[in-house]
Amino acid sequence: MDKSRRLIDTYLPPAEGFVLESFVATTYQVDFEFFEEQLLAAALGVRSPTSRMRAFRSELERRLQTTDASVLYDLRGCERLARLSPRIDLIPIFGRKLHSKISLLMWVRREPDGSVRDRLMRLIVGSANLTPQGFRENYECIVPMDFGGRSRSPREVLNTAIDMVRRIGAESESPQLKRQLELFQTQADTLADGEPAEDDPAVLVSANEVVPQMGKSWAEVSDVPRKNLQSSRRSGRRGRRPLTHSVT
Amino acid sequence: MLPFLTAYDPLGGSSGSIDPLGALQAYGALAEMLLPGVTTITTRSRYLSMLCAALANAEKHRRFLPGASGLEQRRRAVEPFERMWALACVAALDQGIRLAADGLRGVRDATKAYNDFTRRSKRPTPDFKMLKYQSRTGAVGTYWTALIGGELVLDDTGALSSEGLELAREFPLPKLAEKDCKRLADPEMAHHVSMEFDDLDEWAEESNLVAARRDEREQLGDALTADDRRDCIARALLQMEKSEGLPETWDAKSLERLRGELNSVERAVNLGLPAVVDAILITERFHEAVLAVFHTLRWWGTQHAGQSVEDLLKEEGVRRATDRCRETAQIFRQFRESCDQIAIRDAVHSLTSFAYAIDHATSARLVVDRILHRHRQVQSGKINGGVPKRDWVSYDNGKALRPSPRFQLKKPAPYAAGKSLTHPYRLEPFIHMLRENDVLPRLKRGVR
Repeated sequence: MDKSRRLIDTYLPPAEGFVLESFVATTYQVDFEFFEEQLLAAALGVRSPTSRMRAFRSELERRLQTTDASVLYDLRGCERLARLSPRIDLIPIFGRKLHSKISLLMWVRREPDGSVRDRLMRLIVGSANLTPQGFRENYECIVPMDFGGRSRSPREVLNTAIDMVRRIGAESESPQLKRQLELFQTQADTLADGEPAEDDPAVLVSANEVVPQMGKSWAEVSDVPRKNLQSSRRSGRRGRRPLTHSVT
Repeated sequence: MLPFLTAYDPLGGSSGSIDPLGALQAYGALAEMLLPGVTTITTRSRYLSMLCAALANAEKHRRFLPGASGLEQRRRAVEPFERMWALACVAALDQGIRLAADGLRGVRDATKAYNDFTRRSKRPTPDFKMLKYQSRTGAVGTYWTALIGGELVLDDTGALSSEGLELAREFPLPKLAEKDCKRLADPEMAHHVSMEFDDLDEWAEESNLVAARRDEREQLGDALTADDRRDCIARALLQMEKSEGLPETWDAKSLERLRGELNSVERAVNLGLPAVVDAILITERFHEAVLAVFHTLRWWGTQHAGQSVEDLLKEEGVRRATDRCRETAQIFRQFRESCDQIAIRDAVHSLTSFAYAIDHATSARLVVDRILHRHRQVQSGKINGGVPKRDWVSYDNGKALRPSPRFQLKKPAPYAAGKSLTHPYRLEPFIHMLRENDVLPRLKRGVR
């Protein structure tokens, strides 16, 4: 993958000849104008500028005819709905707070007769909301992982991400989302198990699983029987009382 | 890959970040009425011939799907040809042909590849990376609109028109075996294609950006003026050239001259082009005036943070500037009301309510309030659609001005005298291409 640190670049096709086939994203906040006119436009390769709005919309709609795009967002994190293409499935989540920022992208490369030649997938997990601030201004931390082609990323990470999105969107009953996740799963099932390279993430966990997972990973690499993990965020009656977990 | 911190990426913002008062829509519509199909980045007309030749080669050796799928296939099919041709342009420059690669998209990558082939004595091939995304920023991404505007390809499929085929015949092809020509049209197979250096040099002499022969230039000139409006503008420009010469940079005075010449071209009058130029002048003057006040507010808020805006409004220069806003708004409003061309009225519609509000402002303070209100509307997405973006500058407790840190200004804006233009109207690149093809006389060396 390119060494670019621009977040929007991680949403561009991985190589020439690939076009975006499926895009699923979860986010707390979303700026719909940014999402359509910058992020999705870049990911789809829309050439018309937004200053020529009619041409832009026409081209965007044409590209969305062959691309599924779904966004799951927290209703409380969205100030105002805006005009958006009807081909984009917007799924508001209003039970538990949706804070995770997971993006799943699938690209396809086709033969001249239209049949599928190959597919590549990318999982992007990070701290950035789908907003211009998240993509252009703030310090955000992200990690992209590729699957398919020559990549050997651990399949289990992708499976976990698909499952997480499925659980988040479970109540929505969106047929498009269901179809997209099924396709991601089908593709994931064709991959080898894979093995993380030295710097690659090995596992994806939800927040409540972080500490047990750290314990497990610690046990694998260290012979020290017990470690205390201290958080700086708790304060007690006499100054700071750490949040402490014992990890064994 | 380890997790990483993302880069600061302020460029590439939507129109709200470079168009604080929402004039881009009107500008785009008027520019398109004046010179349809021309953009600010299409500067070398020989790209049109090259693309036609590449398409002709592709159509000869491949079968394309119908409709939009075929369009996509054709756009991809020309990319290896473009890369090979880029090498040829660099080779021509290496041979000492001045300007052979001037305006070549991806010139750095092509030069690097060419030098690499030379150093390693390896036969040049199109198997190198040119531009990060050649499909978007190379020949197709830059010149496709011009191909359509020049009626050289069909809009829906990208297939060559009869004019496109004729133009393709004028462009020299590389000296390659038939099977390699076929491979060159297939991005998956093109890496098998290579040329001898001598053959590349020979092709370079004929195919580089300045090597178009007379017949080809004539056809390119025809393509550039295929549209009635562009043809009328070209004629008016020629008359301007003959009388006092063409300006290097276009301003309001140059546009007035253009309008004068257009009035003498009957077809231009029938198409309403003089009225389009009038609309541009009036819109630009209004936009320049309100933009000047807006930038003054940014400057004042930066240099006099915390001071009441009433202090700003006592300054003579600021009162002159707000008067100028009202004067130009009135002219804009009157023009639009009296203009009998629906297309022009529609083009400037997005500025109408703003002009009305400024025209009816009875004090300098009201002018300022309405400019800030307009800005807020633009940023909130009510003008272009979308969710709120940050204001560049706003009131703090209704009195003091507070510009956002990114939009602070250290110098005040100059007075809006109505001489300069706030947008480029694509005349410079159009003139350059007309000169390349002798529709306008070429400039003597040393004169740009």
